Formats: sequence, structure tokens, C-alpha cells
Amino acid sequence: MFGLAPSVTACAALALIVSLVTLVVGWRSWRGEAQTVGPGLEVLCCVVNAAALLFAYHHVFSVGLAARGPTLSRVGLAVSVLLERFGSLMPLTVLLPSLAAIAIALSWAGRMRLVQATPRVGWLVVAVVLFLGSIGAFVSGFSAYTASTTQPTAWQDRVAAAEEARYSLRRGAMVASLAVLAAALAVLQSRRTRRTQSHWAFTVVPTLLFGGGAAALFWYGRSLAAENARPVSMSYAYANTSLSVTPSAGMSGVGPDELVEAPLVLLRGDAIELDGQALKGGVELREGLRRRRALWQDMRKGEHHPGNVIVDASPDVPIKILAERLAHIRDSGHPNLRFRLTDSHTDVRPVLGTIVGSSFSAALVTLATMLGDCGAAPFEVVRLTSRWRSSKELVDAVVAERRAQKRVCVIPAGPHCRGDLADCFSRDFEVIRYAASMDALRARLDGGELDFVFLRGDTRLELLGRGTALAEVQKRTFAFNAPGAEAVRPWTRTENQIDALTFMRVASGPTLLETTTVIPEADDDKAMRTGAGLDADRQLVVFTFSTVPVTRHALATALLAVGCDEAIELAKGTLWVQLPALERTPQAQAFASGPFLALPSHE
Amino acid sequence: MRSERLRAWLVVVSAALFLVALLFHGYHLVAFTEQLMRLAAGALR
Repeated sequence: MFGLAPSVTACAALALIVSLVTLVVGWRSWRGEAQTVGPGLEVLCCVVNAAALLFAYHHVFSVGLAARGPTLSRVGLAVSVLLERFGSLMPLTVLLPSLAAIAIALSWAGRMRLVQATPRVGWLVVAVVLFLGSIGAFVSGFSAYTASTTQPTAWQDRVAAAEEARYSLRRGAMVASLAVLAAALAVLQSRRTRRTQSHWAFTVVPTLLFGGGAAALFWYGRSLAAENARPVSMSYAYANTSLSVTPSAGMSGVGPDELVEAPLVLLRGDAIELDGQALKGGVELREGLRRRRALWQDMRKGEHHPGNVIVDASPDVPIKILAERLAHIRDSGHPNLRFRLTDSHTDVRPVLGTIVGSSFSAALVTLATMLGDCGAAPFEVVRLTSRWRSSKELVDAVVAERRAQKRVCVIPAGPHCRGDLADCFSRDFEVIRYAASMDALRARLDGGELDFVFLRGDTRLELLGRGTALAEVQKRTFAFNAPGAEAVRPWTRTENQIDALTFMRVASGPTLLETTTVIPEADDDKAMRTGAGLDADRQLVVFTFSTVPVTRHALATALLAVGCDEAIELAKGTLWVQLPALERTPQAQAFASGPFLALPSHE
Repeated sequence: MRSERLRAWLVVVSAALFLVALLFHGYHLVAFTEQLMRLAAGALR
């Protein structure tokens, strides 16, 4: 009926029927056409109207709480809910009580005149209408409820739906029993007029009404008391599933970061929503976020836009789609992305029914186009698996890193991947972070886990190969920015370069990269470097590749990744490197504060 | 006469019962509403 919950609608329908019946009977009684009613129907009219109002406010409050709770203050909540629902509440709050008041007044006036007549048939009609009307309202309300929630087909599903709807059922049963009571009273009245007026009949009616009312109030009050005895936990925002309010199915878990005020992007498979507005695709998402950013900037001139955005992805978003969405978000000027995680718990409450509480947290990542965009953070030996297939796997990895106080940098697929996304994801990627000691590196080399290790100092680039003794390693030290640098061939635009650049673009697409700090200046670290023949006081950054086999493309990719994009030429068994820009470029500086590598583990 | 007093008592007792039930229900309804308000305020955090 008024766009409210079925139980409220059923109760309102009953109140309307009772009010109308009271009105008709009262009118006839006042005109002297019918036997007077007695207080029974009037009291019933009041009770049912009050119940309708109670249910309506209860419903509105619960829904409003679920929908508005997280963003509104206490007063704002009450005001907005009332305003928002005023249209649907108006018939209940204005029409029904007015109708009931007029009906009762008429009825009262009629009784005062003590008009004598015997409308037995009329009372029977009233009884039948009340009974059938309320049962009909109850049945239609319940079926509408089940249809609106699950639309079940099998009977097992219907039973399950009924189980979930037991709170509604209970309220429906209350409405139906009120209807039965009304019908019984009506029959009693009609019988009473047939016989000699019994004194007991006048006693039984108010006693039954008071007794029934007391029982109903005790019964409902007991659930309220039970509700108050075990207060709802305050650390969650709730949705009431008994009222067909389903919480959004985001990713579950607890993240290490706080949520901030920012645009909210919902990703559900292919579907995108930006702050509750459904979008058709990634381009719309990018433009929508850009508009938001521009608006923000217009309103706060001179302030720096924080670039925050919240992404709530369902766990099953394929990584291809996710990467494309992230690329669009990044391109819109929102690099500080928080994956929203929902910690939810279900509670079955005596009055509220089944509520699902959600507590939101986040995992913060930086979206970057290239490595230089990522910042620096403390670093430890971490190995990230790189075979993410879904949003869940990626977010799980991010959460684990964030828990360890590390910053996470995500480089999503770039525009070059849009033409053929499959190519961006056809390779497996591996990121291996700084290895703690040279011994550990050598062990991994000897164990076949790694094929090559690069060591980069301020002026040297060193390459360790599998099974290579440390002494031999030093022979393969390449000098740059040093007197012997003339041996390094300058960059020539060969096909290799183009291949390398192309590969770099493809490789950087779906790769999760991590920022790290400089190598800690621990004593054992210095000893390790001295042992490796390196200058212990100079900064050292270690690249580790797990590529099998390392191709020149892979090497070129690695070097490009750290800003060595001015001079690279790779030939069979020989590595020529020139890094003139290493000390100057932002990429190089970013790199100096931590190594990132993302390389194909096979080609 | 006895019957009349009995009937009067019936009405009075049931009315008193109704009043008690009304107070019981009202008390807990108010407490429950306060809880909902706290919940709405708490959700702001």
C-alpha cells in the first residue's frame, strides 16, 4: 500500500477497514438507523490505529537507520527520515487517525441516543468483512514480502524464506489475531442484540479488550525488554534483512587502514557504481571522478586535492576488469586508493529481526603509472605471489603487506592494454624484494630458484648468475659513470629497443609493485657487502629476477623500470649499460630508495 | 448484588492489568528507542 513493509501495510489496511466500519456503523447509529455499537468497536479502532502507527514508525526508523545511519547525525537522521517518508506516512499519520476519530465520535453520539434497532445482519457483515479483510491483508502482505526478498520457486526455498521472515510472520499473526478478536466481538454484539440484554455481556466486552490488550502489550514489551537487555554492538552499521534491506556484498575482512571521506566506487563484476549512481563503463567512471575532482577544486581554491578514492570490489571481479577500472581511476587523478573491506556479523534480534552489521576498514594502495610515482616505506624480505586471478587475491596480498607496515604501489594496465587486454595478462609476473644477505642470494641462485641477480651500486652494476662463484661475479662488474665508461656503447635505436619498450609497457600492466626504503645500514649488511667486494659505505640496491630464462627483453625491462631508459643494448651473453640519468631523474631517485621489479617468469 | 461487584472487579482488574502492561511496554519502548538513537550516533564513527 504506501510503499512500506508488508506488515505495516497489513496493519494499516486493517486499521482502515476497522475505521471505515466504525464510521459506517457510527453514522447509522447517529442517524438512528441502527443499533448502537457499544465501546468494543471504538476501542478496537483505537488499538488497531495505534498499532498501525507504531509499526509504521518502527519500520521507517529501522529502514532509515540502515540506510542513513553512517552519514547522518542523530537529529539529521530523525529529520531526514521523517521528511523522506512523509509522503508514504501521511495516510497513516493523518488520514487514519482522523477517520478513526470521526468514526468513534459518531458512534459515541449514536450510543448516547440509545437508538433501538436490531441490525443483526449488519453485524454479521461487519464480522465477515473484518475477518476476510485482515486475513487477506495478511496473506497478501506476506506473499509480497517473500516475493520481494527471494522470489523462491522450490518449496524448500519458500520454507527458508518463511524462516527468514518469521519476524514479519509474527507481526502478521498479531494482525490476524486482532482481526479474529474483532470478528468474535462483532458476533458477540450481534448475538447480544438478539437476546435479552445480559449484564454479563457488557462486562465481558471491556474485560476481554483490556485483557487482550494487556496480553499483547506484555508480549510485545517482553521482546523490547529482551532487546534492551542485550544491546546491539555499537561498532557496526546495520542493515535489517527482515525488512528486505540487504547489505551490499563487498569484500569481507578487516583492513589495516582507516576509511576517509572520498568518492565510493562499487565494483560488482562488470557493473560499476560511483556514489550510488550506476555507470556504463570505465570511461564514465573516469569522467565522473574527474568531474568530482574539478568540483572539489572549484570549491576549495588553492588547496591540494588529496586524490582519495574508495573502491569496494566484490571478491569475484576478474583481475583483468579490476586492472582496467583501476587504470581509469588512476587516470582521473585519484591515486590514493583504499580497497574497502567489510567486517560483517549477523544478529537475530527479538524486535529488529535479523540484522547484518557492517564495519568498514580499508587497505591503502598508491596507483601509479610508473615506478617513480611510488613512494618509500620500511622494507623487509617479502615475496609476493603474482598469480592473482580475482580482486580478492589481489586485495588479500595488499592487506598482508599493509599489515606489515609496508606501502603498496599498484601499477594497473595502461591505455596500451585496452586494445588487447588478454596480452597484458598472458604472462605471469613475479616480484621479489630485497634479499637479506649475499649468502641467501647465493643459496637461492644455487638452488635454482633464481637465475640472475643484479647488484647495483652507485657506480657499478653487477650481475650474478646461477652457480657463479663470488670471485667470478666481480669480474662481471660493469662500471658506469667511471673512467672505463667509454667501453659502454651508446644507445642506438635498434629493434631491440623497440621490443624492450613494448615489452616494458606490457609487463608493467597488471603488476603489483612495492616501494621499499634504502637498505638498512646494519653491520652484517656492511660485512656482506665487503665480502662481495663492494664498497660498504655506498648505497646498494639489489634486483632479483626469477625469470627462467632471463631474456634480453626481461633485462631491458628491468633496466627500463629503474630509469635506465637512455642507453641499453643487449647482445648475447653481454650486457652493456649506460645510466647517465640515474642520479638525476625522479625515477632514479625513487628507485634509489627502493627496488621494484616485475618481470615475466617465463616467456 | 454480588454478581455486580464481581463484574465491576473484573473490569477494574483487567483495566489495571492493561495499565501495567502499557507502562511496561512504554518503558521498554523508550529504552529501545534510545538504543536506536545511540546506534545511529555510533554509526557515525
